[in-house]
Amino acid sequence: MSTEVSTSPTSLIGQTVVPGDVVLDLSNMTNQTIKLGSGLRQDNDAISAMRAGKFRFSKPNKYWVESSHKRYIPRPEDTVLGIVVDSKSDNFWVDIKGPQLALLPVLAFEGGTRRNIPKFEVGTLLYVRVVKTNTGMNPEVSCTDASGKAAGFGPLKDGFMFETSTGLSRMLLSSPTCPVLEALGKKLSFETAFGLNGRVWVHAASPRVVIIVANALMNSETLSGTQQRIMVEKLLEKISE
Amino acid sequence: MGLPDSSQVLSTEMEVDAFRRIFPLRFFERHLSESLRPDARPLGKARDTIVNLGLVSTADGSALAKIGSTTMLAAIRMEVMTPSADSPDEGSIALEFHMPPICSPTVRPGRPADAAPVISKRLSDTILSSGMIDLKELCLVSGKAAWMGYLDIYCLDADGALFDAALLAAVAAFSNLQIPVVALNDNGRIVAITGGKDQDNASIIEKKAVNKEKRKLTLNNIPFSLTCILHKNYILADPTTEEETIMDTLVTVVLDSSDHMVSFYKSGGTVLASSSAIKSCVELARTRAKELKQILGEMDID
Amino acid sequence: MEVDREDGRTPNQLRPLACSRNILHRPHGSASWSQGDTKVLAAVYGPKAGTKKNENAEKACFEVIWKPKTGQIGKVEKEYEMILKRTIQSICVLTVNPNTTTSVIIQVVHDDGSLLPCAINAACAALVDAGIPMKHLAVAICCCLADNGYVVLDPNKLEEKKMTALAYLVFPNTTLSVLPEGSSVAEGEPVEHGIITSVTHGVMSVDDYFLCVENGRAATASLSAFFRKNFQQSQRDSSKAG
Repeated sequence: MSTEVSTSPTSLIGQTVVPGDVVLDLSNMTNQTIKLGSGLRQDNDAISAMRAGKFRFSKPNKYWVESSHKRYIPRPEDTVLGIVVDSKSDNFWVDIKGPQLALLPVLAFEGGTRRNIPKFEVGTLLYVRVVKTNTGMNPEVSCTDASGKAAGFGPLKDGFMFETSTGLSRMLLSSPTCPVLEALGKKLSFETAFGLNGRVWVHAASPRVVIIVANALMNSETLSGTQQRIMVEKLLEKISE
Repeated sequence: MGLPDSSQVLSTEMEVDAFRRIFPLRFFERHLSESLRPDARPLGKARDTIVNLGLVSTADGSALAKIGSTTMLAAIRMEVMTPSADSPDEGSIALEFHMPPICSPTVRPGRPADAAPVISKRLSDTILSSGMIDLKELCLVSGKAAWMGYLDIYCLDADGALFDAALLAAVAAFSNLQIPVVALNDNGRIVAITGGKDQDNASIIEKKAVNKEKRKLTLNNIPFSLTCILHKNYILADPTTEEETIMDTLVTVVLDSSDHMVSFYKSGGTVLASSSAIKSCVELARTRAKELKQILGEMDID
Repeated sequence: MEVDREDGRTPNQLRPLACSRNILHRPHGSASWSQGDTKVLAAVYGPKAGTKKNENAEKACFEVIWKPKTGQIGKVEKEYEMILKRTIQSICVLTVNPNTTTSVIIQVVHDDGSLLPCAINAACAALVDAGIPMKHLAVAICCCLADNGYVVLDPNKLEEKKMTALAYLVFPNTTLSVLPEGSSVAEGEPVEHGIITSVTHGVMSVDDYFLCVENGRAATASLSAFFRKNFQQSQRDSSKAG
């Protein structure tokens, strides 16, 4: 019926996909175990994309669709910044910008016992680790790492928190260090915490430094490496008269 | 003596009911694989349809339509009004569809049903665009007086295929409609004349009645509708509420007496409508239109 | 005789399309879609925890709010809301985020014909921007029938008034696939040629309806290609970093 000869692409790795695109054909890939990350769903033998973004592959067998949004989908072992919205006798309810509120057990702290339960007010900013996420259940977070040590998790005092997209958070957390952070770090001293859920916390000795750092980070989302360095230089020049 | 047998019968009956509640989709698919539905209807057959006319004595036209358990009561009241400036020769029709709490456990008092305004709009679109009623027939005095028909349809029992039953009730009510006799009084205004019982008025009726001859509307192109469910490869005609909740892809086809399509309405649903599915639905609608025509014809409606 | 359209388009030609995503700050996803002079803004909030009453708690729930440009909300808006809600429910994967509600708000900026398809396209783009999991996109088109039996696509308001009948059709988008050709065929026609939603106004013959469907289907390829290109463009603009 159709007269044009259309060739189906052999591989969509590295390309932008929209929902509905079939990215993998499992009938060609028997005897392999592959891991499907976010944004992919299985329909018998075809793996199709659920989100729009770039289809990525990392050796040996991980496939996922990378995209940047204002909301966050919780995954185990992610570190995020949460805000306490309620506290019950055995759980804190923490908002992590996901579809459901997360639960932070009252004992999930280093050396936590029933006697020394921390008192978090509503609105406290916490740096936590996502422990488990099951469909239909609220995700669970914890203020300890896998071996039970504090490792920097817990409430973040002072400083300034702002919200960005998940893509920017991932870029700022990538290694080697993001150019904008390098450039800022050379001239200013500050402390930051990045949550994979699109929240960033900045703290420095003076509010001036906090504002400079926050503005630089917010502007760096769509810039390339060199552009970021140029932007930071210009910003610092303007500030130091 | 019969105790062990009856308890076995009881236990299998309970299982069927429980299975129907717990695994509704599998229950239906078991039936569909035998080309039947739980109420023993074949897939393409609609439920028994009954239409009764003239039930509401205070209305100018009324009808009750029942398709299976779905019951709709339609009533028309005519009032005189001034026609609008851009169509001085035409009357108008205002259609309202109500779903009172009596019709379904999901409708609560104080919270109007989600489906009611949607069905109301679809009905008025269908009736007006099918050209069943010539609005010019509703004109009394050009530019000064014309009829406004208020058609109210009440759903008394919602058991699936609400649009079909409502359309049937509306069509039947229009066929039952007797436009009241009116006359121009001295002030140039239209007044209603009551039934002719009054001897004094008899002469007045003879002289001044404006529309003594035209008491009934001519209905051209009557629209008939059929709602079907698409589920995998099956097409089920005239679904009940249970079927509608479990299989969510509904298609409504409205055909008129000259076999033109007045409306093809499919609103979302997990199953996509392929061309063959569309053709089958239209075929089923054609058969149903013939059935409905016959039912209305038995009541002397053309 | 060919149909003469006032703005000089051929019968199958669509008006210039424009789409921008992520234009509003507060909503989690937003998009504006314009076809010629018809422009619609869509905003998506969610998924948020909890479903409304009478909704299945094992699936994600959607609610649509339609705001007309002027005037109060009436039956027309309620019908549009229901059509949009059911269309969105059929394209989104409902099992990924059970017991959540996603709100879609549609604001009509200007109506110059073909309003419902424009709104469906805008809602789809906003859902993509918010990252709501979807099975495929929905592309919507308005096909109308002129007196002489010709099918005209994407009419503006003046053309709509003159037509005998019109049909709003929504199809799944054309997708890229690494599967060999013809593998997703059911009953001799590709699965993606089915209709998601169809709403017609006015009387037309059954054959005319099939003609509208064919023409509408043919136009989905160009709409899908536009969407894909638009998305790739915005990706390129925003991913020059690292």
